[in-house]
Amino acid sequence: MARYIGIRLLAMIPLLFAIAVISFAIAVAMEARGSIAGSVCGEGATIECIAQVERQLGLDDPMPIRFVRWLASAATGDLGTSLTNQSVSVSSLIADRIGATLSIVAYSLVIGVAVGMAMGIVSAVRPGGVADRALSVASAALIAAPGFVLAMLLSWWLAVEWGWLSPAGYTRPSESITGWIRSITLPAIGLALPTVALVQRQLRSSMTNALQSRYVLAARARGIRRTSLIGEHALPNAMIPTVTAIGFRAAAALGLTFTVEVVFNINGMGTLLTNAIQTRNVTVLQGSMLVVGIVVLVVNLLVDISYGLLNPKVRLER
Amino acid sequence: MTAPFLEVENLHVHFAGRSRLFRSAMPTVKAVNGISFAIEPHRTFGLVGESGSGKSTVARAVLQLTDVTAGTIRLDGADVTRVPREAELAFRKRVQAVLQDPYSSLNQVHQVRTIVGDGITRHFGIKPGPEREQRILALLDEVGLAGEFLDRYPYEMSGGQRQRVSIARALAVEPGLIIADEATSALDVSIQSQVINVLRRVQADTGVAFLFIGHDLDVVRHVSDDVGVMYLGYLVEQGGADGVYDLPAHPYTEMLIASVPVPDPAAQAERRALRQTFKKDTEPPSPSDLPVGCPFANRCPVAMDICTELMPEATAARHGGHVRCHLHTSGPVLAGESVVPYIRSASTAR
Amino acid sequence: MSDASTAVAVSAPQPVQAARARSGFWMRLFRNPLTVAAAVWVTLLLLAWLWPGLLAPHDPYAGDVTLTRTFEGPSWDHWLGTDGQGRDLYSRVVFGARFAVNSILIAMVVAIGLGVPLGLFSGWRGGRADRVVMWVNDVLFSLPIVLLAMAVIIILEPSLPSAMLGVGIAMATRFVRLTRAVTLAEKEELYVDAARITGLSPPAILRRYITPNLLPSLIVQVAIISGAVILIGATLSFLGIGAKLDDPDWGVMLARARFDFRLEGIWQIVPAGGALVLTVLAFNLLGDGIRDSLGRDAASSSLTVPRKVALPPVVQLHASGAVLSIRDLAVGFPAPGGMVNRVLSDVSLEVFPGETLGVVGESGSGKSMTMLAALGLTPAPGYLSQGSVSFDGREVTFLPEQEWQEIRGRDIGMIFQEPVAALNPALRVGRQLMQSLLVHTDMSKSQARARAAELLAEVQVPDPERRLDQYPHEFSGGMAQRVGIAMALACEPKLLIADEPTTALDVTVQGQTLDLMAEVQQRHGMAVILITHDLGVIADAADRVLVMYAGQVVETASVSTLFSRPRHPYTRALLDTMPQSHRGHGDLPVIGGVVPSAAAWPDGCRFAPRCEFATDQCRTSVPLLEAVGTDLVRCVRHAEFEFGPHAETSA
Repeated sequence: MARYIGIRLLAMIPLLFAIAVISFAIAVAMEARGSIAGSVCGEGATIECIAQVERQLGLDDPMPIRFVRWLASAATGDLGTSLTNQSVSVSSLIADRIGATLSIVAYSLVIGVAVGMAMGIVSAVRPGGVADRALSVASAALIAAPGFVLAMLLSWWLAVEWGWLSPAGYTRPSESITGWIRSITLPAIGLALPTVALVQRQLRSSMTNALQSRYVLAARARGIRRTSLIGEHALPNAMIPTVTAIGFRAAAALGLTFTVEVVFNINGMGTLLTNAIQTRNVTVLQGSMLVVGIVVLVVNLLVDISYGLLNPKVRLER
Repeated sequence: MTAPFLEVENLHVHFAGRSRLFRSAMPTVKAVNGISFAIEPHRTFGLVGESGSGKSTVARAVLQLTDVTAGTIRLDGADVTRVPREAELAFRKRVQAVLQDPYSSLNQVHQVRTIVGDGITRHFGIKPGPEREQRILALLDEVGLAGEFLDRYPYEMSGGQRQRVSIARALAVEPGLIIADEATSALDVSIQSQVINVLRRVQADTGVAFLFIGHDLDVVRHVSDDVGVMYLGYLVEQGGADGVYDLPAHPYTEMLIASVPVPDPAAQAERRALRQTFKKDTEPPSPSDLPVGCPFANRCPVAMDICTELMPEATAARHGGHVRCHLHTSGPVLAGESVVPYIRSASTAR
Repeated sequence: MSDASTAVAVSAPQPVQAARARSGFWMRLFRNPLTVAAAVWVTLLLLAWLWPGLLAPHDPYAGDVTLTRTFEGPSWDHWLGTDGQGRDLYSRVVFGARFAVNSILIAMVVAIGLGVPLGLFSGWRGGRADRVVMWVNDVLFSLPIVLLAMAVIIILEPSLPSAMLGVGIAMATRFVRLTRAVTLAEKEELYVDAARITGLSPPAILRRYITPNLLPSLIVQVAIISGAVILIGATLSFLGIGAKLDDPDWGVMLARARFDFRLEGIWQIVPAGGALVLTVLAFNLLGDGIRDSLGRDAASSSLTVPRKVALPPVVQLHASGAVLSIRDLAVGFPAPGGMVNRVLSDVSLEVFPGETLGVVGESGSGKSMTMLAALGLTPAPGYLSQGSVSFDGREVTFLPEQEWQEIRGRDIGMIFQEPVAALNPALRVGRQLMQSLLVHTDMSKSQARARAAELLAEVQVPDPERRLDQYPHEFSGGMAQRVGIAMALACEPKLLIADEPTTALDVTVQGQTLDLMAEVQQRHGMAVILITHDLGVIADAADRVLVMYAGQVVETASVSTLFSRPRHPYTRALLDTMPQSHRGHGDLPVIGGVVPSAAAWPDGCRFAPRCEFATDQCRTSVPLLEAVGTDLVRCVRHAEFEFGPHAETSA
């Protein structure tokens, strides 16, 4: 297993490089369409502003050199400074915001996976039964509803009508653990509802297949108990495709959390990125892209590890 | 004797393991290791072996579906080891195949008319129309299917009927050689004999040569004039079908014969006794890690020291064919005789 | 023993599947009311896209200048109320369809235009090109779509088209994956080999073979991804980087609702959010509906305990001393049109301690079903419709599942056809072996492990201790079958049922497996039921034989009688067609026709249509008749025949 994880870690290096290329390419593409400095400084731009921005981007040098320099400083954690406010570094901006975003995503995944798995198992044990049909209808509706609409309804209903939980703002865990949990619970639930539906659907289908398999029939023929058939025999096999689906959802949730943050007035990556786009602040977007990319890679690594834990064929092959 | 239509000479097919970044290179899989045989028109050569013996790889190599590592394949005297793209169509017109699984070898979205007619259009330039229809009907008749099958889709037919359609598809281009790769293995017993009879009739009518590949020695013997026995990519024994069956000179051939149960309790009791002389707890080596000597040595009940050291060369067998086994040149020096009495006596001696 | 069963079993003759498959798609699609509703909604959406003026009474941009009629609820004038500028929300929702459909169009053109050709290329070419394409694709695929769209938006400008270009590129990665996966799978299919052998060129194969098989899944994906595109479009508009702030786009309207986050403004969530959710739901349901109509219905899980059907109160006489005795067993499966297919009828058998009963028949004869039904394992939706089963002198026909669990695995062991598939791929072999012991005995874990190793040693698995810690995929078929035998033996059962134990194995391994089973039986003295299609295996291992055809027993006899004097024409014909029975190379005798499916079994003798001796007598149902002693045969003319020993055999 250690060897398997080691190989996965090594395999991340080229992926990391690819994400760096994509992030860097954003500025290159923008520049190809017209002066970045011009659009950042706006109409009636002063010469100083333009010169300042161009120096920040290092536009004088040839592209490969710019890339290597950008990559080298990114490797040390220096993602440059914000184009709109030169006194602030991009990494400090991101460091300030990403905690909220990651908290909400992680919390929503915990809720979504736990509830979704329970629902999926209930569905699969008796496909076509009353519980299955009710849960499947609920899932279909939840998948269609964007997290932020659910979050808006939730916050309106719970917070405004009932005065429950803090309806807006983000409390850091360093300030208060309970405050932190209270501040992210509603956003996380809003974001988790579609996750619940996705996990339910995937697990239902893979679990139904597993329960129809030869090995479950063979286990039944050996007198293995029902709970063991479901928990020990079918579930580990059914989880293999489900883990992959959860990984994809984690990445998607990272993007969708931006809207939920807006709903709850949480200063996370969402507002940072939206503002950056509106002011064409490309260094912030580049930096965010790189950081989010790294988070996605880490999530993928975790998925791969769980995949290996569940699937001996994958784990032992290499 | 007529000139052979297909000649395979010293054929090797190896699949290189791909080395990847951060992964140890996969070892080369040696699927076929230097086999030679020839088939004349009107005749059937049977290739028999278990899974992993490389028999299907031979078929794929002849059909240009896999690359040949070494050796030559000749068709009617012309080299077709590696057919260039511009000559491929002409090659396809002469070699056809009937593949194993009657379910996946026909495309579900096409009717029998298209499945059989494609080849006619492609090779004779006859566009869909009355003339092509006539030809298809004649082909269906040849394989014993009524005209109503023209409009059928594969999922509307039984396994036996599908295999007949496969045969008609192969016949459509009027080939000189048809390769039947496990063509009857997936069929029920009562259907298998129908398809075997169709193949026999087709050969009598058209003179096509057959390469018949199977794992059941009894079936292969029945349809073949000559047979070759493959084990881990080697042709360990070859010769006339009845000769090899009656006077097996290789212990593996004998093992194969003894392993197929016959529907006769008395005869089967004898086979069972013979079967029990073979080792039970050894498994064949992997084709990616072949031993230096004879690949059968670890399962052979009468293996000698030399067997693990040296791959035996082909020597003449009593049945008129060849065998690759040290027993004929060293040890008891059986000189091509049947290996059965020797194995029997060796097992009673133990 | 009346043949009421066949009267029930008769349903439509072999269904004409072609017509069903073609016209059936639309029928199946619109049989589901949800799919119909979804289709209606999508039609409305398209209408609103083409002629929004037809559906919307007001100008979506024109507000109330006096600003008196803001934040209204639904009224006769404003069906869905008004927003903060007094604009008609219903009209804005209708005009929102324009933005939704335009979004889908842009994103889909980009996604399909890029994704499908790339996927086809990558899958067909394989090798290095494939690896490069897939590597880049996987990187893009794993990044959040919203983020990719943001990158495109900042490069171009914040607008819905540029957002959709970004979404399209992100969605292209989904189409690359799908197309490549289908292409790869199809490329491995034998019929693609067959097409190459016929001489078709690669473009022709891609066009005529791969694309038709790709199309269904592509259509399903387009529907589902359309829903996702609308969702992401709304997300971006909500964030203020999609549609313009004034536009009647659903996402923008939701952003306004959030901006006016007061009790009077909150109503705005409903029209825009409702339209959004319903549209996404409609696309998803449409996608699901298409997928379900294309494929077969999902069968129910094997855990579902078969329905119990009231039995006529019949006192069954079971042979005394039999380990397992089955009387008049019948199993039905619901068929289309409220019919029932009786896949088994009037099956009776018994097996005594120490003997091996061979059950032989072709595929579809019902031999495996008999055993599953007898053990309470009838696969749903099938059910036991008649009969009685007694095990070890105890009536077990409708035993509750809990009580069956006690018997199965402890008193009855079962061996399956595909040994590797019968083992759970995720669990170590040792754990699976120990499970049976822990469930059925009071052994401790360490005792169970020691016993498991012993069992492996008994079935001649080399190096048992090490093998216990291995996973099923590390076992060859032959070794896995030995594990299967060890598992069945774990609790020293009284009865061992082996369902085609050698069929999936290599010839040389088949013999070893038969020897092992014989050895084990001799040592433990249990009764064995050996199910096979191979008369050779019967000759090798059985003491008594039961021949099945089309869901019925047609002949029972001792093994020596069966081979020397077969009484049923089917048995004789089966023996004759085997190549092993023939010395020469001439034509083999054949049984004409095909094995009929359960829906098409004839009324009378089920073999009659293929039987060369059939007469008018055979058109009525035939009971099992006593031949000689305990031997039975289901043929009215059996007394007339004197089938000698079948054709000569070589040894």
